Amino acid sequence: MRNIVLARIDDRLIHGQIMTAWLKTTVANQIVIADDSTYKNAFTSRLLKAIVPAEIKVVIQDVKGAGEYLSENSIDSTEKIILLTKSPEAMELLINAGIKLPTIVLGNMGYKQGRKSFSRNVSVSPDEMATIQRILESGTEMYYQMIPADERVNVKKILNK
Amino acid sequence: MTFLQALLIAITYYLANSPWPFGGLGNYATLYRPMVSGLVVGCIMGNPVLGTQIGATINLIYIGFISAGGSMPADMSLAGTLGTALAISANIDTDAALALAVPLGLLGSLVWVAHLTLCSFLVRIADRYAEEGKTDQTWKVAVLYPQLILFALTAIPCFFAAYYGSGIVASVLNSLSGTFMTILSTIGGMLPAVGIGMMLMSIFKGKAKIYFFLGFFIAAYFGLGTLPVSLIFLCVALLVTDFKPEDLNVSKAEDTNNTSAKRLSKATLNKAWWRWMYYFQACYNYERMQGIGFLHSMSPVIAELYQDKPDEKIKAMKRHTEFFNTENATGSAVIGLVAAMEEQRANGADLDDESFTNIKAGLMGPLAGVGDTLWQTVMIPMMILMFIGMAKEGNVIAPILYCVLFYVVYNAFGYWLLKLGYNKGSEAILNLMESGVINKVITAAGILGCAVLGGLVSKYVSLSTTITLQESADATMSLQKDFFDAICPGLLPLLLTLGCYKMLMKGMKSYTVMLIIIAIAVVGVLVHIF
Repeated sequence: MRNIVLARIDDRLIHGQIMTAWLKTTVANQIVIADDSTYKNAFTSRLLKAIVPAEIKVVIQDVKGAGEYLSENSIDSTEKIILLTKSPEAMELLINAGIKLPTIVLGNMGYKQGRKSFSRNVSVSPDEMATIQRILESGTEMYYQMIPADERVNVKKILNK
Repeated sequence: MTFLQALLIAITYYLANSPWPFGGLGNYATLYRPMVSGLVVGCIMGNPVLGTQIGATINLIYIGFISAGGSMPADMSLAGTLGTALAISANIDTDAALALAVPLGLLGSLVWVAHLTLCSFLVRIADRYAEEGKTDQTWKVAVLYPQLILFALTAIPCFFAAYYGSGIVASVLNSLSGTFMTILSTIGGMLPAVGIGMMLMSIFKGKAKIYFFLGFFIAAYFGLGTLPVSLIFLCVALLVTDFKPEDLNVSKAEDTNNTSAKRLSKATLNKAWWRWMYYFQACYNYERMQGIGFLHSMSPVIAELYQDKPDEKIKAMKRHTEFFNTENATGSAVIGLVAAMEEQRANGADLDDESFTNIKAGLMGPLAGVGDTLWQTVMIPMMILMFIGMAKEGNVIAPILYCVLFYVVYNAFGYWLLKLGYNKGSEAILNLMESGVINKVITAAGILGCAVLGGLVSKYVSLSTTITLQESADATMSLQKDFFDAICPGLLPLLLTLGCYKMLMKGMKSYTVMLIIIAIAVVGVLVHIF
């Protein structure tokens, strides 16, 4: 399996927090986006690849493709990957595909119809909530954290409130 | 401190966080920054020169602070306003003022969280206005109500802290011994190393590293200030990155938006942009982030295009109350693009709600990535760095020059992107990002930033040792004067700064690093090393 240094759920994918904070502290040199709609959208894919510094590789795949890509062994031993998905569903699918994710950071999930506020900048639908529960039961830890400088809060703690 | 002074300080703190007249106006880059608020507070306290000096000193530790996507590590505006006011009224030196300001910055970030939480409740009102198609009412929910809330959250506690706190701070500090004041000053001299270290995290990489040392040595050996160092390295950066004015002509595409029969008036487009630039975050909230700001910005466009179509008006308002979050100057491109799309729809183009949602959602993340990097990590700090040396010497013109320079560059950039998005569409925005010109600017600014930070270390981080060695019966050697200074003046501050940078890169939080510095200072002074 490839070396994942950060697995993060963030529906804006690459934005200010990734560029100005996470890329720095994780010293990642690759971003893997596992998202079906982004994979199909040539415009967004090109845009996402254009905005990151040249030394950082961006791989955009559908969830299935990302699972296959991540389970390969990397040839480059210095590879450090930030894995981004828009939703907990994609993370669950990746875990089911055999990708080992000891921890997942819950970053941003913006409000839309059907979602309810979960914690500050994270809103979830009932389905997404159930997925999060299943991920937690599978043994993966989840933390709510916007940027590295924030305290990370165990999602279980938020659920128990 | 008089009642009036405390009141004015409180209002300054509010304004720094509001859209008016210099504060939020422009990405929290002017009155929000301690270098600028220091001058204003200095005027209120009757000592503009000292205010500017203290403000600039406080600004040093916040030079690398970034607030991206709704996160807020510390509130530098409270540190800058209340910190400067308390320091002037307690009559303490600028270095000691810094030690006073840091805890205030930490406290202030609570205001940020409270405001984003409370404004989430206003979203319902915005939704109701959208249901009713009331474009002329959106300003109330996007500006008026959230600003009343913000005023209560900022000005009221700040007033009490200034009015009652100044006496307490003064009497506590005056009762303390000389050793304690020495410790405070030592801490104050060392803390800027943390701020500089934080900024280095963004720009100290690759070949740019060498410019940090160049800037340091030039300042250390020739005694040049930060402005001359900035100007020299601005030229160097432009040379090294091979920057050409033609680079800015990124899209050779023809104007795509020239077929519509019904056009928006220029005044309406400008109004939408102006509202976006300066009120985008007036109702920032956890549920929709800048969504209500986006609605407020689009309201004049919607009102003009769908004058006689109430149903269309309601639909348009609803689709622009959605979640939205980006960096605002770069986000001007989205305002232009979406205005053009609304115009096309009003002319009968087949653009449904989903196509608007897709384009907004597709652009907001990447543009925030570019915009936050460009403005928060390089452009704003770089422009502050150019003038911070002058400000620290007590030059009251320096903060004003910075503000003027900032407004010109920031507005020009935003307006350019508005026009690009409106006239040339999404393809042109993509061309701009793919052209690499923004990355060129970021690289150039990184070089300049590194050099000036090097100069800052030499001039404004202070740490020296009092250790003397007995060479013979009647000759002593000062470790500082005869050893460190002989090699290079400012060697200890350089090592201290690099040490802070290393700790931060290891993942330590900035406040942990500050605590370590404070501990070193306390022990160092007590055992007579410093």
